[in-house]
Amino acid sequence: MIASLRLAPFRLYAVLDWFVPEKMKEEAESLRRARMFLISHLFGPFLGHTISLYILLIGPAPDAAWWIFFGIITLFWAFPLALKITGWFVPLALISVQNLIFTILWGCYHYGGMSSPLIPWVITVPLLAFFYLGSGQGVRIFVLAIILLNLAGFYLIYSLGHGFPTHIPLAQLSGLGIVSTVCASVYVSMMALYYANIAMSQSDLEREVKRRLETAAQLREATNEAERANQAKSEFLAKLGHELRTPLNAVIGYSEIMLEDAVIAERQQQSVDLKKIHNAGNHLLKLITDLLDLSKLEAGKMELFVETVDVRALVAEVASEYLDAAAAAGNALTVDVDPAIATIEGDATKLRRALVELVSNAVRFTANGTVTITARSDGEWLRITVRDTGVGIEQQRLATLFENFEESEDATTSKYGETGLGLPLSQRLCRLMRGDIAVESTLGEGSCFTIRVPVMLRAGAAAEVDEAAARDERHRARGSLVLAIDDDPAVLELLQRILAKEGYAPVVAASAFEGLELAKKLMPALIILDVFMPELDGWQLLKLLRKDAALRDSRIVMLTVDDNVKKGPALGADAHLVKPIDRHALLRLIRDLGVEPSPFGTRLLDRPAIDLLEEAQI
Amino acid sequence: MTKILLVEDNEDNRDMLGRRLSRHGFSVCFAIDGPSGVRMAHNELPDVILMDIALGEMDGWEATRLIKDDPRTTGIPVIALTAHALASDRSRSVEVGCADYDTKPVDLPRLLGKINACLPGGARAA
Repeated sequence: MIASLRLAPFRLYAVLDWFVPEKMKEEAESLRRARMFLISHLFGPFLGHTISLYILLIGPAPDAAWWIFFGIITLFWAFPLALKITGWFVPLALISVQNLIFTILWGCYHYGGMSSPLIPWVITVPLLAFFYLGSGQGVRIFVLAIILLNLAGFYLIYSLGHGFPTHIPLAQLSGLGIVSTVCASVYVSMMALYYANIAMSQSDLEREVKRRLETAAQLREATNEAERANQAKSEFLAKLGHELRTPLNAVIGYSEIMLEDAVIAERQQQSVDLKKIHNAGNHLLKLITDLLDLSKLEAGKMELFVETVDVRALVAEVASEYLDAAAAAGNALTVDVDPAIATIEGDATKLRRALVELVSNAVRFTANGTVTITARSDGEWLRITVRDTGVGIEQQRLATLFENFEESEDATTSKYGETGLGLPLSQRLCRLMRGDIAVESTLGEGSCFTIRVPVMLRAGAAAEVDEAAARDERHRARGSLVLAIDDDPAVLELLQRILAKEGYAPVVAASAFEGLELAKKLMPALIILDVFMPELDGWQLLKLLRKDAALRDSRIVMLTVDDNVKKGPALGADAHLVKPIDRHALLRLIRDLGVEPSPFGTRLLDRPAIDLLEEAQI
Repeated sequence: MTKILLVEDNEDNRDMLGRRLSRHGFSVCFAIDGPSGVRMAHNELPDVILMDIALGEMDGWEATRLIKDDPRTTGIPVIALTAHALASDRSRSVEVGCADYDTKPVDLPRLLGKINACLPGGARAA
């Protein structure tokens, strides 16, 4: 299909579409008719004038009949401009058909009468009328009627005794016969070829759309199945977590009791050993807790508990927990809370958890340095910054720092979180609280993590959270379906590979119209849209997509080659991405837009999704 | 001496927490399920009750509600202990009248802090 579309004269479209009124671009069929109209009006007069000039060559000096003939052929060139200015397609098409039959009959009347070499042109009249206006009954009756009316008019003039004027003797017109027939044939062939090309690509397009729709339905089923499996997984994990905690309880508790005994009895070696058991138990507990919480977050089951939080007390409490550990590594741990901050409305447990993660990391990766916890508020946001003078984090690792450890490509990332889950979990907790965590770091100089949460999570947030939850729910309902629209098959293939690997369900469209139809039928969670496409460019398509109420919740990302993206937000795009596509930037952007991959879907979805899509590729 | 009633159905947890609390100078008595917890609260009139939530037939919420409904025991602070830090657990604990809430496994210094915070000044353990 891609190949057949490639045959279409794309460069020509750029010229043609300049004349097409915006309204006609919205529908594929009307755009096609407008293009037919423009092609015949831009090129037809060249063929017509071949005849008028030939007559000038063989005939006498130009008289009134010739000038009129020349004028009405030239008039056709005015139609594209008239269409551009007025936008009245149907009236213009009707006038054009009338002008055509008149031109032909005028030519016949003056140059040869009943045996005029211009007679073959009459067949172009119904042909063009059908191209412009379709083949409905009304159109057929109209075309027949105006042909008959014009014929009647000329017959009237003829029968009133004027006869056929003889500007040129009939014998001289034999040469014109050949020229005229060749021109008419060329004209008809040109229009027929163009029409055939369109008809072919259209039926290809329809087949392709149908095929993609089936694929999408199968994908949706696979997604649902994956979600059911994910539900079962969540329940299993919750049970498993409980089963693991109970014995772990005993390990941690009894080792702690024995440790206390050993310290009192001053049994040094035993204390050290018991401390190791105790630490290992705690480590394991944190791992299990993080895993369970991540799975709960992914399943959308993590709840917010909003209460009044004493920021100063919370920060002091966390800091006091790490004073010993910091001192042991020769670090100075300082706390700096703006005295103006009293309390915030937030989820204390989750905020504390995120802060603990950052402070424990800072203490662990800093030796003989400083760790500073700073809390500031601007009345809207509370920012808690944890800055250390530790080892720092490599630039390329910063990008993947908050990704789950299964996703990051190098195992060393796990060094930066106790389990590799701590940071992603903390970030997601902060996002759940409508905030975020940001990081800056310089290798060898230290790192700086900032938690940002709203000061008033409750004020109006209940509704907002509900609204957000409802929106998330809608997104979930659409699954992780991503529609990519681009005329470049290489880009589509790349997008498809990246998205499928990540657990999204990608569907691709190789043209704007196909994309529009797929979008309306599939209502994908996200649409990735190339700006430069023939037929209909990305901006126009964006406008059409945004007009559809059903697609209101679909996020749209524009793909551009430059940074000229001011148009995007105004037309309703959610974000833009500059080509060439950077995998990490793309995935980060998609997640930032709130479109999540089907949780654990990659494994379950991977096979069928990729197989199906490969089948659908031509 | 401050008396603590520990309502907990798991023997290991009961033993562990009981021993550690004793070591910190509390007198500890035990109940192994909801109904016996309510009974013990009446009979012993402890200063604080530590109430496990996952108790089987009658859960900790129900037991706490019964204790709070009884005028003789209504004033005794109850600290709920649950395995999950769910927001629903926290709001539930407030709803049934718990003085505080903590998660298991127990972080002893933190729990001691919460116990002391519940006690009137004079009853504090050393």
